[in-house]
Amino acid sequence: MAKKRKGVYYYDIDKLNFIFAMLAIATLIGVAWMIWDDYAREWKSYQRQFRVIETEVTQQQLADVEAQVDQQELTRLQQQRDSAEESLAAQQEAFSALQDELVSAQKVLDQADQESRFAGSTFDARRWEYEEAAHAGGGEAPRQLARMEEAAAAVAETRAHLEEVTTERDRIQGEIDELLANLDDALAGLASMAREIERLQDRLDDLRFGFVYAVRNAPMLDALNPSLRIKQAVIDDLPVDLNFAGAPRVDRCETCHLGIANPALEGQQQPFAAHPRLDLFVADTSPHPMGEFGCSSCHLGKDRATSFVSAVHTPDSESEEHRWVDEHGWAPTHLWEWPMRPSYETEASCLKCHMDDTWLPDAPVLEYGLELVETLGCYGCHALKRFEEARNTGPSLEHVGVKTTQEWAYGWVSDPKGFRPDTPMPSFFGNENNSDEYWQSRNVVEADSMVAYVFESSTDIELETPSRGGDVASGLQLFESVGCQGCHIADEPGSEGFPTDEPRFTGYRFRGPNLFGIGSKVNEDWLYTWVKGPEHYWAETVMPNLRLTDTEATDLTAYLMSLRQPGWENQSLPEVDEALRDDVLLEYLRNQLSSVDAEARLAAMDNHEKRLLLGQQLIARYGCNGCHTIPGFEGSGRIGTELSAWGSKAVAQLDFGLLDLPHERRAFLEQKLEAPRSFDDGKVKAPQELTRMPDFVLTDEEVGAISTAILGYTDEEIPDSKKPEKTPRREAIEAGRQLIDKYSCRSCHILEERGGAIRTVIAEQGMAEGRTRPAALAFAPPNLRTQGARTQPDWLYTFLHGPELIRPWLSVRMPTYGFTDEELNTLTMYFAAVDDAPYPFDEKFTLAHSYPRDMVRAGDRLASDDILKCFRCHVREGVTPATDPSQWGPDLALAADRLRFEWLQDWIADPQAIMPGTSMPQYFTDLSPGSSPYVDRVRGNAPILDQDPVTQIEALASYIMSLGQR
Amino acid sequence: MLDSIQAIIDRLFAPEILLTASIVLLLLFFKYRKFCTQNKWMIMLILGGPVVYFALSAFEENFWIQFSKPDNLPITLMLWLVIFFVWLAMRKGVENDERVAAGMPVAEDTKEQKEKVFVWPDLIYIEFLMLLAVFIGILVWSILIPAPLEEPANPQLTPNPSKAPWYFLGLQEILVYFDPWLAGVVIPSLIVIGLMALPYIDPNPRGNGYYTFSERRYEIPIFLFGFLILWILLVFQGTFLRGPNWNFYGPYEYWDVHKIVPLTNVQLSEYIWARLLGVGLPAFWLVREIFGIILLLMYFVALPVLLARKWFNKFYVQMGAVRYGIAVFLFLMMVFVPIKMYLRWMINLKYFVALPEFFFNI
Repeated sequence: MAKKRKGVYYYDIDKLNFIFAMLAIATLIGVAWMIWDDYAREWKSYQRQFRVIETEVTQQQLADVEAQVDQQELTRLQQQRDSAEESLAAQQEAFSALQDELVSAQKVLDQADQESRFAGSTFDARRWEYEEAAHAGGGEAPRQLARMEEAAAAVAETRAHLEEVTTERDRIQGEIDELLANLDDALAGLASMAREIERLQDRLDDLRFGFVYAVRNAPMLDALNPSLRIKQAVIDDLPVDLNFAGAPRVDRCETCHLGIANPALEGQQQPFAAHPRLDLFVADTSPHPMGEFGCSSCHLGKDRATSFVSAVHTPDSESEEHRWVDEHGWAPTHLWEWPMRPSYETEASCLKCHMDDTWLPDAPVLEYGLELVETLGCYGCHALKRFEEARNTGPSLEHVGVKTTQEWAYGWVSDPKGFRPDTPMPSFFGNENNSDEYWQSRNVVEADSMVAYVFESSTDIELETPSRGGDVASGLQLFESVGCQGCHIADEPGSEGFPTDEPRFTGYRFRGPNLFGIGSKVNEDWLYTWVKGPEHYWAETVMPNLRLTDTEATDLTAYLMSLRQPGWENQSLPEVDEALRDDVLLEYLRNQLSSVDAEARLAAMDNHEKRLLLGQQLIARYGCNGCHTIPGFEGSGRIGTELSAWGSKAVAQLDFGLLDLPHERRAFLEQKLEAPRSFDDGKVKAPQELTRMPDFVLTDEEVGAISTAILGYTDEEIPDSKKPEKTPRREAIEAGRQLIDKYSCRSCHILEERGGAIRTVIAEQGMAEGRTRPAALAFAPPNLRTQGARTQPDWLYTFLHGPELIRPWLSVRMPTYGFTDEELNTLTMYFAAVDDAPYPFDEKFTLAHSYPRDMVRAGDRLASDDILKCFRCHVREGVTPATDPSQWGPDLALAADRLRFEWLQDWIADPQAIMPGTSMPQYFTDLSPGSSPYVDRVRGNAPILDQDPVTQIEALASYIMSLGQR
Repeated sequence: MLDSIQAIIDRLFAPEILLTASIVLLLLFFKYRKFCTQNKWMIMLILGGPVVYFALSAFEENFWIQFSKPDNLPITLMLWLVIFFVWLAMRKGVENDERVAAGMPVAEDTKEQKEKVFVWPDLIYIEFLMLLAVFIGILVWSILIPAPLEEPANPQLTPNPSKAPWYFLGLQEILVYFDPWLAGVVIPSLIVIGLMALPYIDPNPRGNGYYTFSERRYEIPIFLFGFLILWILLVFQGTFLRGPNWNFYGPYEYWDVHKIVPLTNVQLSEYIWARLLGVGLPAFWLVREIFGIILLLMYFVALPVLLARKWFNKFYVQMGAVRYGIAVFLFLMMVFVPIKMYLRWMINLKYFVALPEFFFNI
């Protein structure tokens, strides 16, 4: 570099100045760019857009409010105002004089007030001086006392003066007010009419893009008091999990989702739409107000983020993803473990607080998923909260030898869906990782050995044999009428008449196995013994006893045995490749023994022993005992991963194998459920390294629901204050609900507005016989709405323990469940708790209650055939009415021991309110005193109980309650 | 074609080849320093080559992923700056050496260079201009490339790979080959102590205030070996070539978390007792590790004596026993690092001396 000297300096200063100028300009541009970069936030443009929308909405509201103004009232007030002003103008002179007077009075008052305050403080000071002097002793005290008394006199004097002038001022003011009263009244009326309008107009002024707006929101100046600002809700007790520290949740979602709490904005374009369930969320009146629960505590995503991408929104679909990529530059982020839940998964978040809720009707997908988890028995292999105490999903195999044959069992284990496509039993063989040629032979060996072990360990129990051949036709009739169809279906899935109104697996009518083809599975004696008393074969079964007579049981057995699966008759056990079996067994023996010992052990065994040992090993490997009781496996643990916090599992801990899946929890889970063994694709693994989760052959909907449920299991710690409150009543309800689910009460009964699946069957049958649907439904098991308020706990306990006939005309039977004492108590408490009825005692039925004789007599008159004709429909002490059975009502003589007096009165007053659709008529539509139309016709239309409907109802109830007491 | 070129380059970036090639290139650079600093084509190759290489490679997806990480940008810049300044110093040194050989004063010692200039404006003004330029550069950088923040730290789930700050990556690389006690405590301490000791070990005033190579033909290569090979190169490796599970990945290789490489290493004692002598390992640690101990004693005690007598005799005489002892220990310690690395690559040597009884390995 040739450097030339210019002047005395080493560098050319002009050149340096030029460089300096350029750099200064660049710095200015750079700083401006920096300020703009900091200023131009995504959320501000949303807030600007929202101001336009809010302006429109507010203008609309303003127009609505203005349209609603009472014009008459307005005119009246305006006239009042005008006339008041006129009359005031007429007295102008007097009014001015009064005003002048007021001014001078006020002046005097202010002076007096000052004097009074001076005198007060002087007195306080002198009192203190006197107290000090007196305390110190010496000669000063008397002088100070005199000073204090002087001040006290001044206080009294000034106060008197003050009171005097205040009275004078008030008098003048009163006169003025009197003159103005009419006018003020009119003005206040006008103001209150305009209040809402003014509020809206003020809001519109605030929303205008004017000079004030521009200044407040200008770059840099917006540090002071901007109108575009970040809105946030701080939730301290639902902290964001930052692994080793919890940070308070600061939800800034409302910065862009500005209309989230405004019902007027329902269905608006995002991000301005209102929350679709303001009754449940966000609104202050809902159970989950935003200020207490925030947004990201349920939706997840990054709480503090204020841009679309950094908030970690998750698209619902691929098309949405493409749209987001175009519009927002969206990209998946791995920097936040908690991406927002897609909308179809949102319900997963309910579970962390509502873990103890048995039913979740407001979260249908989650509830369905949890029901699937229960029905499919996921907890058999995977430890899972909520299901710690759940019973085995599959039947006990302790006595399976008396039920079916090894041949059938082999076919079943090899391919359960082949026998019954809708069985919850999953397929262990023929899946993605065991279908090649080697595995085809090995599967035969494995299934054969497992069946051998199960049948070898099965013990015999005594079976009864039907004494004669049964009648298939009457068996079918029984099957259709006695109530079996509440829980069982006997149709091939997909065939005509197969119910489609309920989901398979979890539907109430799917609670018991589909009986289609059962004749090819079980033997007749077993079936006969089973239907007569299921608990004999399997003590823990939830199948109830329908108290079938021997004849009924014989016919039913005959019918069920006639249900055949042609492909599953006369099967034989497979040819087993013994060399392969030796190999497989050796492989398992090597797990515990050295190769030499394993081979020696193998050589010492005969074929039968090999079969049994291999079977035992395989049952342990596949975890059959997770769902079935198998002798020899008592107390052995679960073989799968615990899932109780799976929704929090770090994505990095999931092995996606060689599959091309998005690295997300949900994608992993859905793949696992759809094709459980596909994670082995392309991997080289030894047989025992292969994944072993069986294939449940689920639909997309089922997979989605289960995924949502499992993703709801997180390790977040929720404070009790955020969970549903735990009251004794609530706990009683939850305990009852669990039993209701366990015994599937809702297969027959409607409980808490859901269930009664058998009603569809009964309605169809009745309609086939020519009845109307409501008439047909009169033969359905009762809706148990208000059951707790209706019946006495004692009676309910007795009834559930051993049902008695209440509606003898029904052919469907309330079965005997063999409830334990604890279960009976839980259920009676449940019913009382649901209706918030007194439990267990109530004055009306606990103390022997006698009903006033005149009331009973009046009730007797009212109920008679002359007036209300109660016994046209109701059974009376076993005497059935002459009408069609579809109109019959329960025996009123049972009421005394069964019903609650209060409920009975409510029922008579308005039956439809308690049981919509009931055929009981409403006799008293007007409850105002003296309005009852029912008079004593026999006694010349003499009034009954002063024609008071409430008293008449009480009389009727007293009469009915007294019926059974006689 | 492109794939196979990439595969070859990936292979060339394997640590053993990279280290060897770098040492050879550095030696060639010293040897042919005049050619390297004055030939037009060589200048273009040395200064432009890395730029062109990075620019072309940036089109490759996996290379781009690593190259474009906001954390890695300064390291790319640093690589080029290091090459540039080493080259520049060598160029000036060569020029001066030629001037000295021709009997002229060094370039820094000319009459013009010795003349005084004003602090203002000749110094302060240009400093201020540079300050502005750097400010603008950093400002624009910070606007265009936001801070590379990551997810909230999770002690139960550390990042894979877990990398030290870039300036410590050289030490982290050494951790692969040495006991943490050595790599994390002894070696860094020796680096600091060695750097502090330099002025006392090397009081030679020549080369002060001007560039030269031939007047310091031992000192410069030794220092640059330590700085360029054992520090910068290892930082580069740790940044761009060490991926998940601290495995080596070529510059065009996808960082597959599931990549598995054989990593079985064997102690020297096992080699000698089990393989060479065909007997089991002795139970007593001193007997078991005796060969390794002897070997290390020979390296750190016998070798300096031998060197003092033969090849390093000149230094021994110049420096005296104490200074020579310290210098040669530091030198041997420095050379010990690549020796150990080569042994690991060649014979899977884990430790010369393994004393798990005392939590101490060399």
